[in-house]
Amino acid sequence: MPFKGSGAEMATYPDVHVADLQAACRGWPGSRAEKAALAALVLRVRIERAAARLPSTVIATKPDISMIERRLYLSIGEPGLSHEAQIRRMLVIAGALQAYVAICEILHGRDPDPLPSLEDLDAWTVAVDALDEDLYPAPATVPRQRELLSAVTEK
Amino acid sequence: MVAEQAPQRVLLTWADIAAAASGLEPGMRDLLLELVRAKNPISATSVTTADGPWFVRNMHVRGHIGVGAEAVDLPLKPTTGLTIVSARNGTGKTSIADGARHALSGGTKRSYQVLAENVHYPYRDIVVTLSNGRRDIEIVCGRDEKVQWRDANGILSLPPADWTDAFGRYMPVLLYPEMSQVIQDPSNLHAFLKDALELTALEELQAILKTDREKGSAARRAVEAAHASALSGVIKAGHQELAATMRDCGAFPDKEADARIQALAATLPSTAPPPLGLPDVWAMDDRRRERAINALDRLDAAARSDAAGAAALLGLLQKALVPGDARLDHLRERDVCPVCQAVGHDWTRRATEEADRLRTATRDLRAANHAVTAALRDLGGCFPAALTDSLRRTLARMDDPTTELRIKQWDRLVRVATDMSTITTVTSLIEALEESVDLAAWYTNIREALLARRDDVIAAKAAVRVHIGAWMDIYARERPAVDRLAVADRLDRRVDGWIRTAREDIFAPIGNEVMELWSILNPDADLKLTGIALTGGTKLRRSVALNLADGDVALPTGKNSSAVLSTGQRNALSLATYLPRATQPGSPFGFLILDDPIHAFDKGRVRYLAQHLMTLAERFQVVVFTHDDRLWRELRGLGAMPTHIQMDRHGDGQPQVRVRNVASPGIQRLDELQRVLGAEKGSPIGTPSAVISMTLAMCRQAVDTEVVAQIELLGRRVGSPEATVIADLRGAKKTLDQLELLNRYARRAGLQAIALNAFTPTIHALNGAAHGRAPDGDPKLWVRQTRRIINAVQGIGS
Repeated sequence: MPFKGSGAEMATYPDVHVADLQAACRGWPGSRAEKAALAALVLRVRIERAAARLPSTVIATKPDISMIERRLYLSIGEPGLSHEAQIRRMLVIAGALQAYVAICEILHGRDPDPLPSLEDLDAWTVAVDALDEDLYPAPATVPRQRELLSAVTEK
Repeated sequence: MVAEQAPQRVLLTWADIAAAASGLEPGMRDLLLELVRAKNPISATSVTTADGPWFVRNMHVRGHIGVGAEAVDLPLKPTTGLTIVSARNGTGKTSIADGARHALSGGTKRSYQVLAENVHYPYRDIVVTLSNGRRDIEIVCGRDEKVQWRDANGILSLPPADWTDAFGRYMPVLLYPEMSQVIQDPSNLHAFLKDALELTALEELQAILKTDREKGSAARRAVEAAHASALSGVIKAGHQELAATMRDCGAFPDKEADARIQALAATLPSTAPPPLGLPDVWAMDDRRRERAINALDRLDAAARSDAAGAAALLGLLQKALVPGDARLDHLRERDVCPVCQAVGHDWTRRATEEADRLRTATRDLRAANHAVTAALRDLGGCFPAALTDSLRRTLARMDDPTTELRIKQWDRLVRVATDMSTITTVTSLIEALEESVDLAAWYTNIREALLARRDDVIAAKAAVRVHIGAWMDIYARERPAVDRLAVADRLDRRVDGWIRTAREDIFAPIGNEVMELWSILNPDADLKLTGIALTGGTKLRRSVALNLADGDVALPTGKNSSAVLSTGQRNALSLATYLPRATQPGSPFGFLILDDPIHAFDKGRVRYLAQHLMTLAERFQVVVFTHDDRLWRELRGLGAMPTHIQMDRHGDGQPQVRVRNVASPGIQRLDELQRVLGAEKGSPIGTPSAVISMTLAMCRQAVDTEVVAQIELLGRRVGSPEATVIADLRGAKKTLDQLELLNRYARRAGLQAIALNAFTPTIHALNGAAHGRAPDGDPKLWVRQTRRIINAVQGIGS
């Protein structure tokens, strides 16, 4: 489902499907380390879209990529979640948000080294996969980033 | 004495030492010039060293420590300026720095250990190219680690010795393993500085002087031994005046004393003194003793016969029996005894028989007497000869009270031996002989002692002139060495002073700079370095003393005083010591290569070091290897635009080290994107929308990186606290926000702000792509637009 962002300036640009981004990342020339920033970019898009897709039962405001942290934390109160599931979600969201903040720091040029380390990338991938699985337990429509990274590594 | 002048400069070479000789008194000057001539130094300075300053043009390293078969080339601008080489751990920074150090040092031994041979590629190949702006030098090192210089024609030669010496003195390459020794224990500072304080020529001169002084000392000992021997002889000989003279003048008399000694020695006897006149020792002859006893026995027996005293009777009998007397003839005819007148008793026969018996007995007695006389005469050798006057005087001077009795005994026995008639019986003979044996035993000892004493005197008297002569001969022979020793001792003390002065002269500016640099690197610390000095004996060889104060309170001095320093402070201390050393005036090296200098530094110290490196970069080509981008960022923040080279590994298994100049990471990123997009035509990377999205997302990262760096730079320039800059950046979440923040900082710095309106569409497109969206258009055009933004951003501060 094409998603329109919150900013007027961005609303005019169509979303690129995550699978396409992943494929482009795979096809991008260079080693896995050299493409680490691209992989981080895809992870950030996945986090943002996971937050934007949250149902109106979680957040009433229109679905977009603003207030990512608030949206994700509100999902802990999603109807029907058991106490254990809420705790699990809280942990999953904490991990994903940590990855999100770190990726934003990198992509916003706050670190003079534009390439995240592969160890960080692996940790963020695990966190984002966990977020996807916890928020949307239905069969995944896109291959998990971990699988993508494996493919990149094998390349 | 000529007034001596202090040397005006540090005496580093033999030429310096020869020049310093002119300020010495004549004796030392002559000796020093003789030693310099004997040393015959080849040349003071090679053309190459004098041709400095030299800068590094390129480092080529292959098969060394962490760099394998794929060579790494690090091209550098051979001029003053700052270059930061950044790479992650394990990329090969230290391998390259060590390779360069090894080649530049001429292959001198490292103070740290490295892997002798690369496990992946054993054929080491290091080439460091230097330039002084007029010509280049290639320094090469192969598998055997042997370093050689290669000229323009490819001819190899050994590195010039003074180049190697200069490297040790100035140490223009500092690797972390060397610094870590000081970090681990600051008392290693002296070892760290040792080469800078090396005074090869002066120390070699001292070694030569030591040999000279040892020869002189041996000569002096020989003269002293000869003097002692001669003096001992004179004392034994009893020449008091000569002994006193020799004692007063010592082993090394002046001319006057020498003449007096010679004159007094001439009065000494040249031959042995007269003999003592000691009688020979006598001994008992048992055979003669027995013969004498037998003779006396026989005499005794003969004396007891009636022959003794029968001479008258025999005379009468012989007279009565001799014919011719008428009356007796008549009586014989009638056989009438002329005594008793008895007839018929055949008195003539009886008288003849008696006369024959008496005659025989008398003859036996006479023979016994003769035998005794002869036997006793033969015993003369068993008795002492008469005492000589000299012996009698000598014995009389003896303290032993029995000696007088012995003298009397001796005289008595002499009298017995002279007149044996006093010996008439065996008993008296035996008594005399036993007494003589006893005296002989006593005299034997006395005689030996007297002879021994006399031998000494004879020897002393005979040898004393010889000894005095030998002493004088040895003194004459060794005099040059002894005289040279005195000069050499003085010169050695002077050289010692030169060494000390030279070390102090070398160290003083270094020490001052260390203190200054410490205060530069630690302006905010309570711990102050209030003094630094060389210590350790007259040659200042052993240690560097640090005076530290915590606030106003001085810390106890001593080896462990620096234990109070933190690791970062120790790092600062080692750098504060190293940099003044490496940047001394006179260094032929225009470069400084530092490996990981900001180890354990906090942000403040990184900034202070960055400031100092900027100052140094005005005079030196400063190349810094670091895994830590903080230094580069601080430099950028301070307005410096250092060359930034990034090394990373790529290829399968990442064996290859890639070197990229990333002075502008944003532009570098765009260059990469352009290459990728240019190559995409052959095989598409992905869907067009995905490619454009990812391209623009990377463009935005490039812009943001440059904008953030520029904000940090301007923030420092306008004096904003770092926390304020960070807070401002946190508030600027999007690229446009960051650009507006940059403009605010630019205005505060009095700089022209960027006209953002012109870039707004591009910024929107970049922003959308960064969230997985795909603006329309050719990605290459977007990259070009992005380049304009970055150029505008960089244009603010330039």
